[in-house]
Amino acid sequence: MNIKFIACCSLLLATVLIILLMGLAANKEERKVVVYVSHDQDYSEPILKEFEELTGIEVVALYDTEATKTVGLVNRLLAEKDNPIADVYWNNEPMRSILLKKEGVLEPYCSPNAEDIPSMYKDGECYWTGFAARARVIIYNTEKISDDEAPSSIYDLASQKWEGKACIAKPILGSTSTHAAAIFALLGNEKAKEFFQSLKANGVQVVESNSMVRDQVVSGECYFGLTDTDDAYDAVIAGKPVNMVFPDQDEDGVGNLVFPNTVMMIHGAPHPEEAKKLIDFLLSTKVEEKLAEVALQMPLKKSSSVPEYVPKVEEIKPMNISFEEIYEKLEVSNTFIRNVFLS
Amino acid sequence: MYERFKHFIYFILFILLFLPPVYLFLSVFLPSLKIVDLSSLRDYIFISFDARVMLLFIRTLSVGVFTSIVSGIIGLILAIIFECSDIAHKNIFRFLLFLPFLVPPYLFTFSWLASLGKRGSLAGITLPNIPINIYNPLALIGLLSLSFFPLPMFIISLGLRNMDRNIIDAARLLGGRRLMRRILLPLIWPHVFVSCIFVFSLSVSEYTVPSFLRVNTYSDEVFAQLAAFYDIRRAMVYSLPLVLVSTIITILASYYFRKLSFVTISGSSRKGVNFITLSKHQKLLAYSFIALITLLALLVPMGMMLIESELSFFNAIILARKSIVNSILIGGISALIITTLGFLTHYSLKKTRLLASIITFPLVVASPVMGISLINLYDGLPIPVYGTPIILTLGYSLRFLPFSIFIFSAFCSQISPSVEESCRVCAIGFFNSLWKIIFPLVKGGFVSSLILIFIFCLGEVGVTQMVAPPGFQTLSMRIETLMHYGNYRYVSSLSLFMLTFIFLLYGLYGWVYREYG
Repeated sequence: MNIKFIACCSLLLATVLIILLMGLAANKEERKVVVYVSHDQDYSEPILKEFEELTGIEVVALYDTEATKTVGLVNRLLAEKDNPIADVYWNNEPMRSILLKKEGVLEPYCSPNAEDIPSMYKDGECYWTGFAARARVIIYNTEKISDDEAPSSIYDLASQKWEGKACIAKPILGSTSTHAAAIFALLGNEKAKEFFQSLKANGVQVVESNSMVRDQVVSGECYFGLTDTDDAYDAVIAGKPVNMVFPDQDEDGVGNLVFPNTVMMIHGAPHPEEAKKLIDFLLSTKVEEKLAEVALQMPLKKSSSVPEYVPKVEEIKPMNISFEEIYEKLEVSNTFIRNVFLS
Repeated sequence: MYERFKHFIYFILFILLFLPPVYLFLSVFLPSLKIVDLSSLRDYIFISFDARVMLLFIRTLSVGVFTSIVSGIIGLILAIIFECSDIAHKNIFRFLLFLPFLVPPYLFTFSWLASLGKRGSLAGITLPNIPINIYNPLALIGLLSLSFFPLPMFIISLGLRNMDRNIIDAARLLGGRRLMRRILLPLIWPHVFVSCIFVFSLSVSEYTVPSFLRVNTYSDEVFAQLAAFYDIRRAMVYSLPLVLVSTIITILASYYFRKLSFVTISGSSRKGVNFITLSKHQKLLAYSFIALITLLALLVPMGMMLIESELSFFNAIILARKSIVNSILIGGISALIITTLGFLTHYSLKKTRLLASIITFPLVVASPVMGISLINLYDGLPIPVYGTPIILTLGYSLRFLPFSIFIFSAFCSQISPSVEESCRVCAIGFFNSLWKIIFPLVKGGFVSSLILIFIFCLGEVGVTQMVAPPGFQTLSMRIETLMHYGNYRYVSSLSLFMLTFIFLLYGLYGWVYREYG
C-alpha cells in the first residue's frame, strides 16, 4: 500500500463521515418545528421567518415546487404516515387536506385563533383549518379582448366564439382539478361530462400550470384562461396587458369556487407544542393581512382588514357546495377528465 | 479475496438499488396477495391497461425509439468527425457540443419555448406570418434529441479513442469506405447501441419536456396516478412495462455483445488520431453540420436565456446562495461515492453482464416512484438516514449508478484480461492489482464519471423533490420553483450560473486530462 492509496481511502472515509455528521446535525434535538409548505415559497417564506423571529422557534421548511405540487408533499406525508418527520402542513387548498384526514395522517387541533373563521372554511373536527382564500378567475388579454366582450362565465370556454383561444391548467392537478370536481358536484356527472367534452371540442388548450395559463394570456397565445387570483394578480401588478374577472357572478350564474389555504397538525408530530404555536400564528389576523397585501388572498377572519384593491370574500358569489361534496367527486371527475384530455 | 469482494459489492448493490423498489413492491402488493385471486389480478391489469393507456405507451415507445435513432446518428457523425477526421479546432467543438447534455432538458425546452412560442422573439422576427407549432411529438423528438445527442457522442468518442492504433493503421490500407464499414462501425457498434439504450431510457421516463410541449406520454400517466389519484400501486404497475422493455433491450444487448471482442488499448492510442482525411467539400460539410448543431443545441437556447435573464445574475445568486452551496456539497459527495461504487461494481461484475444490465431499470422508473420507495424503506429506521441529506445521496445512487457503471464499462472493457492474469502470476494481491494496475488504466473513466455524475446530481429534480430533508433546498429545486412562478428572469440567471459552473468544471476536467493524461 502506498501513500496515494491511504490518501484515497481517507478521502472516502472523510466523505462518509461528513454525510453522517450532516445527518446527525440535521437530527439534533432543539426547539424547532418542521413544516411542509405547498403555498408559493415567495409568499410563505417571509411569514415563516417572521414566526421564527417572534418566537425563537426554528422553522425547518420544505417547499413544494408548483410542478409537483400536491404530488411531492402529500405523497410524502402519506408515505411517512407511520414515522412522521413533519409537524405542520400548510396546504394551499382544502381537497388534499380532506384526503389526509381520511388517511389518518392528521391530528385534530382547534386553534383559538380559528374561532372567527366561518365554519364552511374549516373542518368540523378541527383536523384542518382554512385561512386566506383564493378564488378562480378568468384572466383575459386586454389587447385581444375589450372589457365589454370579456368572458364572464366558465361556459365561455365552450363558446364557439373563442374556439382555440382559451386555456386552462391540467385539469387533474391542483386547483383546476378542485374546480373540475366542483363542477361535477354542482352540475351532476352527466352535465359535467358534456361540459368538459365541449371544452375539448372547442380546442381549449391544456397547459402545465395556472401560472402558465397566465403567461399564455399575457403573451396573447391564449386570449383568456382560467387561473387563480394570486397568479392573475402577479400579472396585473406587473403592468401586463391583462385583466381579471370572477366568473358566473350573475344572479342565475353557478357561482365561483373560493378555496382557502389550509393548515393542519400531523398525527404523531415530533414537536407538537411548537406545531400548535405555528398553527396559531398562521391563523392570526396579521398573516391573513400580509397574504392579502402581497398575494391578493382574501381574509376569512372578520377581524382582518385589507387594502381596498383586495376583493372581499363575502362579495363573491360562491358555488353552493361544501368541500366534502367536492372531494366526493374528485375521483370521478379526475378519471373522466384524464380519459378526455390525457390521451 | 476477489470472491469475497464480489459478494460485498453484491450486498451493497442489493441495499442501494434493489431493496428500495423491491420493498415498496412487496409492501404495496403483499397485503393484496394474501388472498390469491388470479381472476381479480387479471381484471386489475386489464382495467389498468385500457386502449388509451396502450396508445400512450406506444406513443412513448415511439418517441423513445426515434429520439435514440436521431441522437444516435447525430452523436455518431460528430464522434467520427471529432475523433477520426483532420478538421481544425475540433477540441473546442467537442467541448461546446457536450454542454447541451449538461443542461437539464426542461431548461433547454423552456428556452426553445421562449424562442418559438408566440411570445418568442425568434418566431416573431423570422417567420411572423408562418405559425410555428412547437407543441407536437415531432418537436418533442427533436428537442429531446438535441438534449441527449452528446451522450452517444461522448460514449462513441470513448470507444474511438480507445481503439488500438495498430489495427486502425492496418485497416487504413483498405481505403475510406471499407475502413468505415468493415472496421470502424463494427468496432464502435457496441458503444452506439449502449448509448442508444441510455437515450431511450432517458426519453421514455422524461416527464417535464412532454408536459411543456403538451404531448401526453406514458410518464404522464404514471405521474397522474400519484398526483391525481395518490395510487402508488397503480403507478408501480404502470412503471413495470417500461422496466420490462428496458430490461429486455439491455439483456439482448448483453447477449449480443458477449460474442464481440473488444480491442486492447495502448497508452498512445488514447490520443486522437486523424486517420480520415477529408476533402475540401467534405470539410465544408462537416463544419456546416457542426455549426447547425451548435446553433440549435447551444447558441439559440443560451442566447434566449441571456435575453430572458436581463443580466440580473447577482440578485439571483444572492437569492439562491444557500441552495447553490447545498447542491455543490451534496452533488460532490454523491458523485464521489457513486463513482467509487460504479468502478467497483463494474470491476466486480464485469463477468456477470446480466446483473450489470438489469440495473438500468432505475432510469425508466418514474422518479416520484423511486422517491416513495426510498421513503418507505428508510423512514423510521433507528439510524438517521431519512430526513437527512444522506437520503439524497442514496436517491442519486439509485438513479445515477447505472451511468457510472456504463462509463466504466467503456473504459474497463478495453483492459485485457491478460493484465490481471499477469498480476496473479506475479502474486500481486487483489487490492494491490486493483490500485496499482487497474485504477491507473481507468483513471480517465474515474474523472469522467465524477464530473458527469456531479453534473447530473446538480440538475436532478424528481427524486430530490420527493426525499430532500426539510430545510434543505437544492439549486435545481429552486430553479424549478421559480420557473413555475413565472420568474423567468431569475430562472435564466440561475440556469446560466449553473451552466457557467458546469462549463468551468468541464474545462477543469479537460485541463486535468490534457496535463496528466
